[in-house]
Amino acid sequence: MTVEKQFLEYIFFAYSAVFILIFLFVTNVWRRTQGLKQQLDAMRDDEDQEGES
Amino acid sequence: MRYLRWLSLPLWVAGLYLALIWVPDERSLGVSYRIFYIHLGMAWTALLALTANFVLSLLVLMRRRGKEETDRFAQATAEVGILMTTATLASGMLWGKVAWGAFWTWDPRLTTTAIMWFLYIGYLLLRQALDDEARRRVYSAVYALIVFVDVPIVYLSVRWWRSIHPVVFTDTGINITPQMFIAVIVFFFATLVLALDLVYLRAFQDRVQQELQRRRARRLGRLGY
Repeated sequence: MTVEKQFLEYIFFAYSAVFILIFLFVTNVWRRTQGLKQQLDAMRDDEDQEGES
Repeated sequence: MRYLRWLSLPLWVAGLYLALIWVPDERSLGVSYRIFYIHLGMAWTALLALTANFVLSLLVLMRRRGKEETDRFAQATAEVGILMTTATLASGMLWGKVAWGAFWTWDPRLTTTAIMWFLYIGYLLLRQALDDEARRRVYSAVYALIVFVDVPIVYLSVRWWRSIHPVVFTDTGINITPQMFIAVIVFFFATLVLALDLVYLRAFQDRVQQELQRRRARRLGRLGY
């Protein structure tokens, strides 16, 4: 393997590592937020129904 | 703020184009120097996020109103700061392997950055350990003010001690070519806008979570628990 090719591999690893970290953070926060919003909406609906009855 | 991510996307595309294609190879390090652009963008944003955490923690202690929201943003900036520091360390280690032949050396810049990472992990652990909201707010703010001491040390470490880490801003001026500087600035703004978006996303999640907890507590109270 030439030195230049080895360097290109390291560039690929470095950029990939950063993108994977950001992707994991974003998807984790996003999925959790969606789950919490669903729970909150369900609770609001229950409270509205309780208020009507 | 939701428009931030749509601004971030073209900036990232432009940054990647400039860093990987447009900028010529560096004279001594050759093609491997291209890691520098993402590494520097992440490092500067990490330091800014942790500085924001310091300012917000100070406001938590000083302000009488709006402490809850300020504290929420303080936590979000710390988390994003840790994320960016992790990215800085990961990309830096890979660049170090190419430039110095080793993933890690006990260079002052690397060591102080690793210490900073551990200190802010400690900040998150402290927050997790305290259940009482008011106490958590004050204790974590005080802790954040103390550990911030390491942030300027990270920046100044290459000036204070003998270091093999490259320095961009020296007493004589900027240590890179104008072309490189353009790529650095574009990448920095791409990372900064992304970080702002992540902070707002994380703060929004926390707001929803607290609202849910409040409603649950109210319901349990109505049921007589």
